[in-house]
Amino acid sequence: MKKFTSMILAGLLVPAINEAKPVKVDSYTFGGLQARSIGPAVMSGRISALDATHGDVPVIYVGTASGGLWKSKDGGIGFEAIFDEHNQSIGAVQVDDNNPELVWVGTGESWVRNTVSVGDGVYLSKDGGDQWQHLGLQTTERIAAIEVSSQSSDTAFVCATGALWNDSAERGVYRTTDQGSSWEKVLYLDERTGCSDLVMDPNNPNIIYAGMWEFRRYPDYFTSGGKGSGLYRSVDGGDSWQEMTNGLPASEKGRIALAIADSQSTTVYATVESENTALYRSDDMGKNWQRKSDAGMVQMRPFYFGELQVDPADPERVYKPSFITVTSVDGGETFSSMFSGGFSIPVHPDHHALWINKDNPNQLVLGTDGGVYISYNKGGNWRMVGTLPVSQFYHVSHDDQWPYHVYGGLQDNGSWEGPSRAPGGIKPGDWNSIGMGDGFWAFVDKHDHNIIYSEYQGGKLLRLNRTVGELKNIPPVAQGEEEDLRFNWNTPLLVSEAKPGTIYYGSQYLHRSTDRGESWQTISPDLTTDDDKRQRQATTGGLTIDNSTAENNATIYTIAESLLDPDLLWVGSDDGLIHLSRNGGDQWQNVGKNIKGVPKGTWVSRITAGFHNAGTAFVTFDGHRSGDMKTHTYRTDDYGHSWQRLAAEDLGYAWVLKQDRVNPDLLFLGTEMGLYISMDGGANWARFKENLPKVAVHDLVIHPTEHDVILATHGRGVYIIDDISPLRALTREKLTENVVMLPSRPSVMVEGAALQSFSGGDDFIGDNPSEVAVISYYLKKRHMFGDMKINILDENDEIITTLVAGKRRGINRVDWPMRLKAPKFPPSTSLVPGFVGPRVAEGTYKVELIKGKKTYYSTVELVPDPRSEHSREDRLAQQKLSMQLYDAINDLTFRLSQLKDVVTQLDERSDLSRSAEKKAEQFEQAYNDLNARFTATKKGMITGESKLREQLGTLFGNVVGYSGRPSQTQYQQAEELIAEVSVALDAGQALLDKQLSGLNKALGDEAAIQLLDRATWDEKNGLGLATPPVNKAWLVNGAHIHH
Amino acid sequence: MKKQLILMVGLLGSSLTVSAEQSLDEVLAEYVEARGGLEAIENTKTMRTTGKMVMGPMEAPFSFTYKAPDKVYTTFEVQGMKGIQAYDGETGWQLMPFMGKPDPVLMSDDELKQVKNQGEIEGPLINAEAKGTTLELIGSTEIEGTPVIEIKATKKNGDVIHVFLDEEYKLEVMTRAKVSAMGQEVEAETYFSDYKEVGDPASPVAHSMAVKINGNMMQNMILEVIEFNVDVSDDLFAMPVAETAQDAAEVTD
Repeated sequence: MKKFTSMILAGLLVPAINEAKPVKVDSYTFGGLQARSIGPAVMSGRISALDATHGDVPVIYVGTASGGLWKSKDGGIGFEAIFDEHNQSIGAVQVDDNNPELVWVGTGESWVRNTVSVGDGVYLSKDGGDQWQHLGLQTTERIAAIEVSSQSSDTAFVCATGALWNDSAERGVYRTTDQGSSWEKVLYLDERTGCSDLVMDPNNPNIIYAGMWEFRRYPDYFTSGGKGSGLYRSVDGGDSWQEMTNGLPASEKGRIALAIADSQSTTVYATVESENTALYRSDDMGKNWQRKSDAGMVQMRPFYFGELQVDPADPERVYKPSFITVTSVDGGETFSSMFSGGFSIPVHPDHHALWINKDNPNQLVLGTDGGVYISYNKGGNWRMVGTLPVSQFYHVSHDDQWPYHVYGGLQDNGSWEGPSRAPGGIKPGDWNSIGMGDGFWAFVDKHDHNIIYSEYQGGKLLRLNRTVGELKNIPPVAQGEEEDLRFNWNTPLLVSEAKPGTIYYGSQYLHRSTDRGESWQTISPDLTTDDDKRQRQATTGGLTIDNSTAENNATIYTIAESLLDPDLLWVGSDDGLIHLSRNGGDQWQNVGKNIKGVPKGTWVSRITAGFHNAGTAFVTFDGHRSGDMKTHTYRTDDYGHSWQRLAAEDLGYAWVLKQDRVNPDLLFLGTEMGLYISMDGGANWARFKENLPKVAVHDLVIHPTEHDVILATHGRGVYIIDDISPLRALTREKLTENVVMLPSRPSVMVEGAALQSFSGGDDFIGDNPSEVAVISYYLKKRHMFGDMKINILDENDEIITTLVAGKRRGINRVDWPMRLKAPKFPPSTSLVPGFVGPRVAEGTYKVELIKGKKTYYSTVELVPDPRSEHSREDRLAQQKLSMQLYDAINDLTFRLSQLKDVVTQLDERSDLSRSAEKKAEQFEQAYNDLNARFTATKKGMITGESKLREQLGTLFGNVVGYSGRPSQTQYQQAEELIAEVSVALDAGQALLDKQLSGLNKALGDEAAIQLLDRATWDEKNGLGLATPPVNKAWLVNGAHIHH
Repeated sequence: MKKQLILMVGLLGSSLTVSAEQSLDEVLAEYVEARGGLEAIENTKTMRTTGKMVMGPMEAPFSFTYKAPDKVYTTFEVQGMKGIQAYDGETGWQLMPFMGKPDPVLMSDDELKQVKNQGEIEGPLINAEAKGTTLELIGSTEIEGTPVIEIKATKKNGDVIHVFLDEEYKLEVMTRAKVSAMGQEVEAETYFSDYKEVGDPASPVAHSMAVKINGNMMQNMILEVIEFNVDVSDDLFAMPVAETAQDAAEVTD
């Protein structure tokens, strides 16, 4: 009794306590507001690791540089992302050969290019990737390899490359003997030296080889090699390690890659970076080494191409993935390319991972900077996997056509443009290449959509004539006394929205062109530190020089303009300076010096101007290149005189922060760890994760008329959050209400659809936005009890249709197909194209949300397709004929149903007199004859039989399927068929007139047939008015009334 | 009756605030109580429901009939044609007249497995031990932002279904299971809402179910009428002979 009483008391208290609590804003508040992936996968992205089960149809795991882990269960046709809620940078993936359901993942890519991401340790799945357990080693930052003992699934070794931009003791070789519950660092040299590769003898798991590598990256410099580097071996399961030196270079070494011959495990190969990088071979388990080939592809970029494989059945066949993959069939003495001499290649260059099927060494899977390729003949030819949308966008922009297109550049995959929607989804062929190299910013010209600006690494600016396909190089060059121009790897380009016709470009100076790049003016002094100590790119690379412009520093990195004041320009540099000009570049002020709390010299990753106050700007700093992983975000409201640090500390290093165009409190922050949204001006943040993985968001743009947020993810292509109108309306005050009706943008009644094609499952198809009307509302709490539904009403308050309501906490979005229900067809033996009802006419419709006893109202606006070539009169004509046919079909169906119902009633009578039975048989026969006259009754799959029902249904489908005026032929056919419906109705009525009274007489008054009436039939089939007209308390879009 | 439900739910909600960590048995006891008690659940000898399936712009009326211990009969209608899937305790069969094939055919193993699962109307958490189902309390998590308790049910045949109970009301918010179709495995999630009391003694029954396959919304099922313990003939579930199948597949209204 005591417990019961306390429960009641607690029950009474709970609501009061709940009301006092502020409403939690978290990822679920955004609820049904989903991101959609539009890809592309046509060029895919960088693959960092591969593994697979062996056998006829291998289960393939693909680890990507920054797009997570993917799995194919069908040998590489279709792939699914299986790691979306975890770190997206994959350094190693290893399937346990003892139990292929055990999959180990080491996060943090070890191909340490300038734009590499960071990992957070080791994960294990025990069910083939469905669920993941984090096993620690969180601060290792990057992992190059994992090996599992062939004798025990509990024992595994992790090759931790470690931190790239700072000293760290969390690196080297780790061992677990309890499946990751605990770890022991068994090989460690110093804070600058990590593990670059690790292999285990397949016949004796106590024999392990590890490459140790001293390396470091700085914002302006990379060095590979040093005293720490060396090749180590353990023969006691990792307890002790010895450096192997006999035959290897005595001088300083750099990155080492290893491969062991499965078929002859005494043979081990290694590529060893040194002053003269080469392949080495040992046939005595590493004791002695012989120098083999030093071919170009063996020597190329050891920090980036540290992969080596041996054919599992042939110890003399060695694969060296490099810029391209080269093959040796003579034990490493010589290499030849499988790609027609090396440069006529059907495969994207830059190869990082290669898997060979142990059961069938003809089958290879190759990971490149441009996705995955599969070969079935040892690399003789390749098929690209088309289902991996792991493209690494740096930036994104859009044009102003409908549907709009997006533009952007990608790591090693040039620049591309594609539509935000397309019939049947966004297909590979919808994307077009618009640039080259490593692409970054890309814009369409504001005056001429045929002109596109793009760039590639180190400041190479291009202008494309889209129609002709001709590129012109248009970068500025140093003028007069100016120093040589320094362009960042990712040089900032701004095609002005405030001053259409103007483009800005940043070296250490800001450049402006008003003639499409034909000529340039320098409109600033050097806006960087111009510090010589930050300009070491000419000697970058360490043992292997690698001056690709990736380390260019002391450069302008971000340019912003104000739409409120076209002469207001902001510039930020990669060495920590922020400058402002309020007169179009005539004078500049260093306003970054007023910022407190961010280490000096920290890279300014983005400046964006506010949309609501000319003095407002938002700045993100990115310190990860010096080991600072914090989120640095600031705003100013007084032109940079003072700055406020926003409350975002541990959301990942920041790439971009933008204020909403409509709601000044609504902020979007892209970081290395995803997209974050603040609804209160930056005081609180929640990760947006509805269909958006924890992927780096390098750029985002808010479409001014579609109200979409377009995301450039560096690893998962472009995502779009369609129509953020509901989010804008969900103010702090509204969040406390139980139900809030929210506005949506006008719904376009899209015309056209996908035509017939069957492409198989080998293509990624980007999602389209909802092509229906969307009704939006907010629920403070999930709906559990009682009815909840949505009615759509016309101008006479009559219910057009009823929709299933969304019930989740947060924002809900419910689709209304903008149609009546499908017509009701009589039973037949064939289907007709009448699965959907006629579209309603364009205009504003009322929305009634019923939740339990309360009702809430809003409106939804339907507008014609902007591309429509049909006049409003033509669309209305289509709607009118659709409705005539719709009514005719329902009339026919009702009449036949009415007759069939009589037959059914008669069948249910078991005590008929002989006279009544005879009359019943006559009636049923007459019904069957009538039914067969107007509907198809032949059995069979393809009978070709077409009666009134089928002809009517086909015509209905054809008229409804076209948005404009029906053809004269269709009108003519409709007239004939509707006339025939009248004949059918009359024939049915005649049958009733002729036989029903006699039938009822034979049945007797009490047993007389109850004739089905139209109102009952309509209601039963949801075709009539289900409820009376509603209260006419209509309101402005987005507001609501409680009843 | 509705007041009883509200009180019951209120009590469950308050009990959560009393004990933050519960054992599996405690959660199950509250679940059974939330469902109206074991007697109400076990007394269901037959069930008949009608409603509609909604798939985007398309709607299809459907009916579902159950007779203890395992007979099920489901119909759905498209353009006046009625599809049927049924299991009579021994034979699983279906009739799909849409492509001109009005004769019943036997189900595949995958289909049979699914239709048999439909016969477990009380759900995997009720009388689990007797059915050979192993239950494991996974713990607290969230479904679409609603706090829930996750229970993993492993059936005798190895099938696994995860049940997510609303932390406050102890009723199903969602179930997740792997389903096999054409030899391929897909993940099916069913979201429950619109609970209303049905029967005497009353128990809350979800009148709205949203089904996602591999994360994509496939269909909503709206239950309009639910009746317990009505007369249902065994004949309904038996596979008809070909001559009578045409009639079975025609919709009379």
